[in-house]
Amino acid sequence: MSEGAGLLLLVVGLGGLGATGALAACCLRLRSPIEYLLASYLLAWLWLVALTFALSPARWLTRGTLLAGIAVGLGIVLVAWIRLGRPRAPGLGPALVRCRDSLRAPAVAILVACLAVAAVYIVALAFFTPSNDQDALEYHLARAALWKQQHGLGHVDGADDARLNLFPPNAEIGQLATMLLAGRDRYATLPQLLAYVALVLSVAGLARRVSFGVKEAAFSAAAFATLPIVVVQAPSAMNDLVVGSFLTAAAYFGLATRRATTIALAVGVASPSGRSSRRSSPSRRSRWSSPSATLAGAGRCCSSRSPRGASSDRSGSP
Amino acid sequence: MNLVETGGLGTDVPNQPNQSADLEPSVLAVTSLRLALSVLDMSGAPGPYALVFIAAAIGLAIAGLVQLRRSRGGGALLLAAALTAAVVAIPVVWDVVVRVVFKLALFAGGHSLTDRFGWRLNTKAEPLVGGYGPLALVLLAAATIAVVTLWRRRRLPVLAVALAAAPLTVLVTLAAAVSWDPTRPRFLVFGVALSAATWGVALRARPLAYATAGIGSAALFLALANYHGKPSGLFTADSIWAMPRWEAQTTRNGFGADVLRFVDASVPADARLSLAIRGDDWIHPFFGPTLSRHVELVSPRRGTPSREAQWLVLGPNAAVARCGGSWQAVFENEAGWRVERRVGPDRCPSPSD
Repeated sequence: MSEGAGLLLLVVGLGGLGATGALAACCLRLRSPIEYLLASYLLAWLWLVALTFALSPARWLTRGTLLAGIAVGLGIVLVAWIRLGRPRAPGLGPALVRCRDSLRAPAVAILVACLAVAAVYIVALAFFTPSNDQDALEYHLARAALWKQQHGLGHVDGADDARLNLFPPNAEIGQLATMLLAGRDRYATLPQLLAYVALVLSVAGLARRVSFGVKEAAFSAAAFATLPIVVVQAPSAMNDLVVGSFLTAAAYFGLATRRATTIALAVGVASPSGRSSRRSSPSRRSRWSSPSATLAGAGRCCSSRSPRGASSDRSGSP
Repeated sequence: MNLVETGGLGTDVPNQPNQSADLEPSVLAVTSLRLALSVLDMSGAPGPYALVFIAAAIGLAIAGLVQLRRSRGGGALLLAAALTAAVVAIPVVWDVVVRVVFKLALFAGGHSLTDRFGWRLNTKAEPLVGGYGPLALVLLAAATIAVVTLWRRRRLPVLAVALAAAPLTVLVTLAAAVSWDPTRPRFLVFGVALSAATWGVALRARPLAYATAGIGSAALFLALANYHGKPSGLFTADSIWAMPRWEAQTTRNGFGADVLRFVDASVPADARLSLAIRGDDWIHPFFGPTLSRHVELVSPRRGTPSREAQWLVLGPNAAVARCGGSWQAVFENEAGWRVERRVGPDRCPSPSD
């Protein structure tokens, strides 16, 4: 398959997943644009992970079945969306106007301008240079390629590296999807790139939940987006930003009410109920639920990575 | 899937060697302190490269002086310039603080405890060992103080304090969950993201807001220009943009480039390749960019390549059982890597090393 055809299939597949997430999020009748975008992100991921798991036991995971599964998911969500009266997404226009207004603050404008230039370079690094991070080549990309080869998630025989078989697979499922659709590893950095955007959005959303204005929220998000580890992870084939984006989005929805809370605390596992989510008023903020559970979740996720032996960077006494 | 394929529900990862946290109080305390020290970070700014922060400070100072001449109050910009320039002192601060923590560790557990940790300031902008840069230090400190102050004046909800304290909570959780390793600070990203939600408070103090712009833009530039694994070519002779795939995947990270170069040049793109390597060796490059090679993993502890395998890559110290006359060595290097090509079918009664 030519690279152009692969790219086209990738666009079709990811477009289908994005549309599935976006329509499903419409059905939740969310009012805030950030809630809507993050819910779309999580629900698209949810469908991809569920689909990959469903196709794996019988070793049915191929480009064709993945595309078919995405189409089925989109069809189901489309029917649900129509039956719910075609609920519309919250308008992004007013939010964009407020974001534009926040650029009147010079500090925000400088950061955003620098980030805009950096974004071009980050995308170029992600797609036009080969992945060369140690963990990515040892097991993140390797397990995705091995799963592609065996047409499903599952135990990899002969593996001397325990991480190939033991670690939670979600981020690598995203890498696997790009490999299946595009037929190459060039786009395996997409999950981290998208997670970078989702993380930055979550930071802005959390700032709004704490009652900061749009300008302050934009400043928070832009400052976070310049942190070196975040910047260099974005074009990589690692998984830290993906995990971080799920946890931060969970915290964001955890601070909202009813329906939205259920969306992300389990990253799509719980089913939504209630009518709509609104921005928390100070009196309702006390409802934010179980931050300790979320933090403990972070600990669990973190503990399950990088079981490497002694570090090569130990340098004795200072 | 775990139940079906391994017989148990859990993944048992915490019981992997060297991964479990030592919950002895002194070890836990030192691990927490060492993780906290990672907030002092100069990712992408080793030695003279830190002068980029001075350049940003000069830019702010010039803007401040221009505003002063126009009688529009450039004091905030001049203060921001001073704060931006001050981050070049982080290595000095590190030197002082790390000695205190090191001595505490020495007092608490002797060299057996201090030897568990690395005590060097990170200057690499890199996805594994990279850190949060000077801006995180400034904003974590300043925003936390401001948030607590505003909360006490009832101008911010307690939630803001909880978010500002999140890095600390995650840090202690992490210290109690896994052992120290220089790659751990990246796991704090969730806590830092929560805390970052309160950084907007810095916009209320103009010097801090301008300094954030100065430090943030300089750190962003340095992280990308000085990206350890993917050098831009701006500061070094090496440039990721001029490297072939095998070189890009090996030059900066220690793997044998000659092995990959040989495989890229000599092993057909659709070959069936057996890989007998130990954990911590790289697997993915052997698939090729279009993932067209079929790669099968063979245990380096007397595993046997399949009958269909056409090529065999053996890592250092790998022992693979195979029929002697079926394989021919075509590449070998000093590190002990070896590539063999099948020259005949397996016909011996029992394969040997």
